[in-house]
Parts: sequence; structure tokens; C-alpha cells
Amino acid sequence: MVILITSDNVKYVVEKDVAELSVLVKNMLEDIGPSDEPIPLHNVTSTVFNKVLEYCIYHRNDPPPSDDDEGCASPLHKYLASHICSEWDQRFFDVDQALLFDIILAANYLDIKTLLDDACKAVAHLIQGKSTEEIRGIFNIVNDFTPEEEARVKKENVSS
Amino acid sequence: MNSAASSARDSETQNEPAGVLLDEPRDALSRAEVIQSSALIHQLPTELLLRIFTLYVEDQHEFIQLRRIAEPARKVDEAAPFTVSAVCRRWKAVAFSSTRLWARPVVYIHSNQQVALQEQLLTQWVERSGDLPIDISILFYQLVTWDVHDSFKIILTVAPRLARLNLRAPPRLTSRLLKSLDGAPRLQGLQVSIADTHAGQQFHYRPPEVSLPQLPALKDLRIQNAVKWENSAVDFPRLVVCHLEMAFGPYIREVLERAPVLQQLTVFLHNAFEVPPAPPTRHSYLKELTIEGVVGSTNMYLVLGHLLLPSLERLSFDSNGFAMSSNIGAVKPLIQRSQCSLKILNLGLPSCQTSAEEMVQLVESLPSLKHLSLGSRAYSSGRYKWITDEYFSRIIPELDVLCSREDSFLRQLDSLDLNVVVLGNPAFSWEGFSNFLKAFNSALMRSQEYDGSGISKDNPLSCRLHINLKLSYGEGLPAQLLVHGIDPELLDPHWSKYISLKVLKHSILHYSARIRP
Repeated sequence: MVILITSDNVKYVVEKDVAELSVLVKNMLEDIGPSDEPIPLHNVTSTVFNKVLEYCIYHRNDPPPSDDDEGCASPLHKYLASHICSEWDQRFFDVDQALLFDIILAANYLDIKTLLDDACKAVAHLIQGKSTEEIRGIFNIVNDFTPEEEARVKKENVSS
Repeated sequence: MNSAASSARDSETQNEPAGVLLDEPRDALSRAEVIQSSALIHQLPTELLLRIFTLYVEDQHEFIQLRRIAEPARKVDEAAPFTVSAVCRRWKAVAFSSTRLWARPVVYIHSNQQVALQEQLLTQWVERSGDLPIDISILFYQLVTWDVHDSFKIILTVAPRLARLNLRAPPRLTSRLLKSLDGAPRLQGLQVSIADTHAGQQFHYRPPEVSLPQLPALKDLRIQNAVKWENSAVDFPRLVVCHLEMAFGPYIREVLERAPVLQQLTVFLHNAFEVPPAPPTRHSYLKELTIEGVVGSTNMYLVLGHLLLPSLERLSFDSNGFAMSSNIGAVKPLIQRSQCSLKILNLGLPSCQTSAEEMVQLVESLPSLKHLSLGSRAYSSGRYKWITDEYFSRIIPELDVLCSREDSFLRQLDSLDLNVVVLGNPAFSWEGFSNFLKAFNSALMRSQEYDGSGISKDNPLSCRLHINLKLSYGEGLPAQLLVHGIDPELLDPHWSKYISLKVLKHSILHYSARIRP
């Protein structure tokens, strides 16, 4: 078991194989060797870590992700493999934007590639098929282009 | 989280993928951040925002290339990098900071009026990709009549760094663009399909011919039209994968002779009765050969009779529901002549040409065979008549003895796939199919009993065969058949291994049931 402490001082006792899905934690464990010392997670609150832990427990037995782009799988096979998302994952990422972005930041800090990619895909899914104006509305983004810049952007995007 | 965000921002450019221009002033990002402080997404550092953009752009690219026909209702963003760069100043700066985001341009031409605009779009897209190897798709809608051959000159300019090209364009433009690629040093993937408005209008339609350029680095070639081989000295010294979708019998020999290290060849035979006798063709590298018969009858003795393929491991035939004549008998001589160790055999041929006993004899004559797939894997039409009552009757007793006798022809296999397509009038009776499901069900139950009785996997009589039954059906499948044929417990998705059932309605997976050993 591994003891992890979040930035708001909440202590978690986590099975080692689950904790080591985080490359950050795995490296720290290797550095300190056998020890009961708790590992501080300075940049993750307990609220966010609860979600991260839920993901890691569910996906603990998944095969490791492959970076092999030169494999013999067909493009369609690769596409399906990277896009098939379980109902569990869909429910997991069905959260408000604040939490979703915090999960992304936590996954990046903890270095959990699959969680980072899945969470980023969840954000990309929000953009899916939307116009520029709709995207601004979804994320509460202000159009800060000057009229001249806006005209140039529209000219650049000749297909719109 | 703030510290995570700031620390990530500090290192935002260090992890950037290769090919970054980094020509956007950093203070532009800072100014934008002040204005955009209410937008939560701006908590994300540049590298993560860029990661989201990249995933989005790649998703749109793959969708346009692969799934557009299957999901026509889904809205697609054909100029995804332009869309995200038009949202706000920060997003524009982030999008423009990465050349990688712009390295896979796709232009889709729906009408004649769009050609000039899309050509302009492609030019701007390509310019933003810096010096990266580039993957370009130019896709004309099939019915666009525009065919001015001197458009898209950007292809000529970019040819030295072109890595992949997917071209679906009218005949004259295709011909000119392919010619301009001659000698392109980095082109590894080429996909060509001529958008011909006459396709499908005539019964004896002959597709336009494509003249292929010399491409020294080409590894993956996919052509959906006829190829002009006559008077062409073109060869493919590095070609590994080749798909020819409007092929004629002689194409197999032409490709094998011109591609010395080819490993996978798929040909969709368009009219194979034209196959003339040919001298022996030996190819030492080919591992996978797939032959599909799209139109016309095929004499497989003539198609395969001249081939020597000593490395062949996987052989697939799928007639897509049409009759192939003299088919299965040609496989055994090919294997014997080649002295190869065939491991995978897929047979999707009509049962009227191949008896169940012939299939069994063929399997028994191939001692290296480990995976057998019966029935067409395609399920987009009601023409498939491979699995019949005769096959059910032949396999049912094998299932009965599978766990207890070594002389079952199935026991040499590691896996057996049965692809049963039920669209229109099936080639089997419902009674025959129901009996097969019951035998399948019994085998499933016995495999669990063996697991429960403690017989180890090392026991020569224990079941190690993995059977996959895929049932694809339209609206006509009697619902009661499933109720009576399959134990509801088998639909528990947590059970796994060795024997499995997948029930598919059209192309959508409805149930997946697997049974523990």
C-alpha cells in the first residue's frame, strides 16, 4: 500500500499498482525506496483526487497504451481503438467544466497519460461540430479580436 | 490547481512536439488571458490546450477519411484548425504556435463553386504546416462534374515533403496530380479513387485507369480504380501494404513482380474471367493475401495457379455473396506448391460452390492452421449465402464432441469464427439455425463444467478452442429464436474467454456474451 496526501491534507491509502498508474508517484516510490513515508501531492486537491482515484481503480488492469504508429493495424482499426469509449468513461467525464479542467491539470501533474488523453478528448467532444460562435458560448470565451483582426480571421478561414 | 497551472505554463514550450514555429509574441497570450479570465478553459496551460486542439483536429480528420459515409448525420468540421483559431486571440496564438496542428489538411469539395475556395484553403493550410512532412486529402464529392486539370498546383510545390496523399478527384485532375508526384522522395502512403460521375450507371462499367508514378518511399498503396500497367516500368521497392479495389486477375502478378518486399495484398476482383495463363510467380515476403470477388465469376485456379508464396500465413476469400467458381480446390495446391505454413484461413464463399465436407478436408490438410473463419465478414447486403443447414449439420456433431474427443477437426484450431448474416432470405432454415444455437449453447455449458470440474488447460482433452459466433441480422430475425436458442446468462458481459457470442444488428453491436472456460 502507498500513502498519498493531497494539497488539502487528506490522506489516502492506495494499492501500489493503482498508485503507480501515475508516473510521478511511480518515480517518487522508486526514488525513496521501501518506506512508509506519505507522498505529498502538492497540486491536487482531495475533490479532484477522488475522481482521479476512481478512474485509476476502474482502469487498473487495462493494457498499457501503445505509441506505435507504425504498427500493422489498419487506419480504421486504429481510429476505432482510439475512439471506442465505454459507458463508464462517458459517465465519468459527464461533469461540470471546472472539474473536467481540474482533472486534466491533475492528470498532467500526476503524469497519467490515459486519463489526460481521455479527459482532453472529452473537452474536444464539446467542440465537436460546433461553430466558432457556439464554441465561445460553451466555454464562456470573449471574442477579443479587434474588428480588423476578426475580418482577417474570417478571410483566412475561407471555407466558413 | 493554480500552482499546477502556472508550473505547467512555465514549461509549456518544452514539451511541444517537433515542428513548432513559436513566432507568436508571448505577451499576446498574456493580454488575452486578462480579458478571458472568466473562461475556465483558460486555466489550462498552452500545452494542454494544444493537446485538446490536436485531438479535435485528428478526430475530424479521421472522421472525414473513414467514417463519413457510415455516420452521415454527424456534423463535421472540415477546417478544424481554422475553426479553433477563430475563437479568440489566445486560441489563435496557441493554434498558430504549432505546425503539427496544420500538417494533415483535408479539403472536401461538394460543388463546382467550391473548388477555388478549397484550393485557397489548402494553400493556406499547407503554409502553416512549416517544413513538416504533410498528409493531404483532396476529396471531391462523387457527382461534382468540375474537372479542370490545372487546379491544386500546391501539390507540385509540396511534393518533396508530402508523406501521405488521399486523392478522390475527377479523372483529368487525378491524372495530372499523380504525374506531378513522380519521384516524390517522402511519400509513404497513397490512396487514389477517381470521382467518376458515370460509376454505377452502366452494368458493364469499366472504371477509369490510373497511371501510377514512381514513388521510391511508398509503403502503403490503396487504389479504388483500374491501374494502367501496360508500358509502365514503375516499381515499388518499399511497398508493404497494397489494396486494389477494382482489380483484374493479372493485377496480382503485376503487383508481386513490382513490389519485392510486399507483405499484405488485398484485391477486390472486378472481372476475373480475364485471367490468362501465366508463368510461375514466386514472392518470398507476402504474408497475407485477401481476394474478394465484387463482380463476375472468378476461376480461382487461374488466379492462384501461378503463385508460389512460401511466407504466406494468412489467406482470405470473400466473394461478397457472388459465386466464385472452382474456388476452394485451388487453395490446397497453392499451399502445397508454396510449402508455406498457413496459420489463418478465412472462407467467405457461397456454399453452392463448396461443400461442408470439402471445407473439413481442406482444414485437415493444413496442419499449421490455427484460425479458421467461415462466412462473409461483411454485413451490408442480403446476398450472403455461405452458412447453410449443411454446414450447421457438419459442425453440430463437432461441437458435441469438442470437449471430449481428439479427432474433431476443430481441435487443431485455436479459434473458429462463424459469421452468420441474416438479411433478406437466409440460405438456411430457422430450424437448422436453432439446432446450431442449441449445440453451441451446450458446448458453452460443457466448457464451464470442465472449468468447474478442475480439468486443467494442460489436459489434452480440455477445451482450448475459442469459438466466436457473430450473428448479424436485419429486421427479419424472429425474436423468439434468440430466446429459445441462447441462455440469457450467456449475455452476461463479465464472463469471458474460449467461447463467445456476439449478436449484431446491422453494424451495431447489441450484445456481447462470453463464457468463462
